[in-house]
Amino acid sequence: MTLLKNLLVQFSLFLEASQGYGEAKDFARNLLGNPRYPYKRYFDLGMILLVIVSVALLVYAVDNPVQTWMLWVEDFAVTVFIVEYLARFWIVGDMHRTVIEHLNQTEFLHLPFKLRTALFEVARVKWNYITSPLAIIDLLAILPSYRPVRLLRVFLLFRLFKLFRYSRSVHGMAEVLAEHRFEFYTLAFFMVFVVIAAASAIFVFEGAMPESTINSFFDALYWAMVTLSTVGYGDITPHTPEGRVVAIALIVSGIGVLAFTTSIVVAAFQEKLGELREHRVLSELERGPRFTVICGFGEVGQVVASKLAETRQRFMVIDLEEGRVRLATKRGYLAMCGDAADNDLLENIGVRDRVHTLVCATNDDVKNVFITVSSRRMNDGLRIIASAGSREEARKLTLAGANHVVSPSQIVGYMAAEYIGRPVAFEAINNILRGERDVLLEALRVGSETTVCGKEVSEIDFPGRKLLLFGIITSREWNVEDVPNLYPLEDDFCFIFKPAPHFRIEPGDILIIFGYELSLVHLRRELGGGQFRTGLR
Amino acid sequence: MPAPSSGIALFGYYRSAVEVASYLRTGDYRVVIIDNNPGNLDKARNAGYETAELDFRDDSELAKLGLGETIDTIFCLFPDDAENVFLTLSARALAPGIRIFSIAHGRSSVPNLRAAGANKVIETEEISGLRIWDIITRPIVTAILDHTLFGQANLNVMELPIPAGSPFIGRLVSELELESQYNLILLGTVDHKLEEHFVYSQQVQDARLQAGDILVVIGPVDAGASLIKDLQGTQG
Repeated sequence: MTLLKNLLVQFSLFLEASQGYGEAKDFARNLLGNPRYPYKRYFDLGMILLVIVSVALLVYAVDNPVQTWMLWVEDFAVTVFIVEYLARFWIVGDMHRTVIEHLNQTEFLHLPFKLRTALFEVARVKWNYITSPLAIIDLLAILPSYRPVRLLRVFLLFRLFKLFRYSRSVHGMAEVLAEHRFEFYTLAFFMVFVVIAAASAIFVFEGAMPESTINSFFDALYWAMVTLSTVGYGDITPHTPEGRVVAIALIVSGIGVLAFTTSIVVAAFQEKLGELREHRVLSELERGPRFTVICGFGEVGQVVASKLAETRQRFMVIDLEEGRVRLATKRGYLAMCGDAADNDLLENIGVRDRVHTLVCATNDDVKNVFITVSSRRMNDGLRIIASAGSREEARKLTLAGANHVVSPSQIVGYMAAEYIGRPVAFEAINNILRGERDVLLEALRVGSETTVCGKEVSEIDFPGRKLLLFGIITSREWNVEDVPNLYPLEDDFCFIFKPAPHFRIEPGDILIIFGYELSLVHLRRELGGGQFRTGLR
Repeated sequence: MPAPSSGIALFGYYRSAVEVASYLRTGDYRVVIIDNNPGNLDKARNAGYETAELDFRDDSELAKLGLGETIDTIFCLFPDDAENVFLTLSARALAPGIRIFSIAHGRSSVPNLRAAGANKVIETEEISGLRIWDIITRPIVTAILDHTLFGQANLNVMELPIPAGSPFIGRLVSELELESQYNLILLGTVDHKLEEHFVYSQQVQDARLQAGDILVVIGPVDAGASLIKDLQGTQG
């Protein structure tokens, strides 16, 4: 016993130390259970396909000759199902870790190490898994391949139930119904009572009559059920006035049962409609690259959203008002009704790791500050852009952790002053920024190993390409005395305005250029670094 | 360009007006804050502005302000778009030559304000939305413009009119040698004949300067100042 104990402990420690084992288990966990794992989608799709093909073949084989390739497909499907079942069994709990934890605990408390306790704990977790409904379905789905027993064919259905695992919407529907368990239990209890009472009554009245079609209590039950459900095949009918009275009572209660069932289902879905929509939004966001969140779909939020949609960027909208969410959905945006100041909501949409930019544009400054604080707490690297009503609020938002604060009134003030002071220049720059002219202002990064690298500014002939080099952003070290027009930026970057003709361009430099779109596209291709969309780093 | 002593009237001392006034204060303008709400006027007075209490709905009171005479620009900064439209319409009728700048709070009000006679309409929410979009999609360009052109560093976009009698009149733009001589970039020019029509500098080969043309240049403020001096020549 001691030997076994030692062996098991050694083995557990070995597993704990093994990197490959941990990675394999993580992979299996992600593939089988992590909805955010990118490959899970393909796995799910593959499994759905396999289930459908195998069920189709089994159904086809009922009254058609079985061909060899069908057997192979069936064998393959069953193998995959068995492997999946075992894998799911494997990823529940960590036996080696439980053993080690137990060992540590007992050592710490100077208690004798009992293997039994640890193994019991492991067994309990595994047993919980085996007896869970989905695991039972998985197991039953493997059975229909055992051809000799015809009854097992019924379990074909379970193979279809397996689809619950792979499709979120089906899963959601099942969850909705499960939440109304109590109503369904009540209903089932009532139904069972009515059926048994009616079956007993009709059996008592007509069971012994020679002309009656009710020959057994099972016939009576069958008739009661068929009548209650309002299906009424008519293969069994009551022949005595007493029997017909029973039928009348049964029909009346049947209508009640049906109405009750329908109302429960409808009410359940009505309640959950918003949540189901939310599920859809969330699952859509979980796939694909990171995205922007716009909190507040007011005027400001709407402008940001329409611009982001125009440039085909991924984003979602959160707003408290049902009407605004409907408007956003109508425009084809992913939108969710909810309070962005709710930490759980932020957590759910993935502010921690799935969101790269958060726009706080609710009309309530207090709320904007709150959202900024909580999302900054969740994610240090998040870019937060907040809208503020006044300068004081702008200061508070910066303190709360916003990277950029945009204040409508301040922009108006600034634009008013520009309009008075230098209307033409201002309008020109603004139009260029807005893309309302043919001329654009763009930031282009120089890729490594491109023809431009190592060249001097004068060699590139910007004027010949109808381009105007405004300046270069670089992270190289410069002496302020050597380079005129040097302006330091954040993070060791600096901006060199109008670099000298002999300035040498290096990979990683960012050129800030005015020019026509066509010339910019051309240069962008030559630079190889692409357009610059993210921050400096 | 308006004369530095031109009078500016700000209607409605609300959030936007607070900002507009504080920006205008840095220039050499006479600013009057006009409102019919005594509380707002108190605030403006406390902030040190010249104020006048009048009801903009009454044309006779508006006329007393001296629109088109001592006041050549008005800003309609009420939070209610309807009030801004009303004010724009009355002011345009009283003084056809006046410059009117108005804010709007919804896209639908912009054409109304333009029809009423506003020269420039800024839609406050849209402009903030666009700015947020800029920050999201073009952080570098936005940051550079914020750092340099729009205030924080000494770089600036300047518009320099060619005064009558300037020694440069009749010479080619290239002869100015803005880049090497003045440390300036020429972004474009505004031809005095095509009013307010901005021409990108790389669009045309070269142009002869004429009085009234405007050069739009980017560069250090002192470089701009020295160009202004040269443009004025002996006249200045």
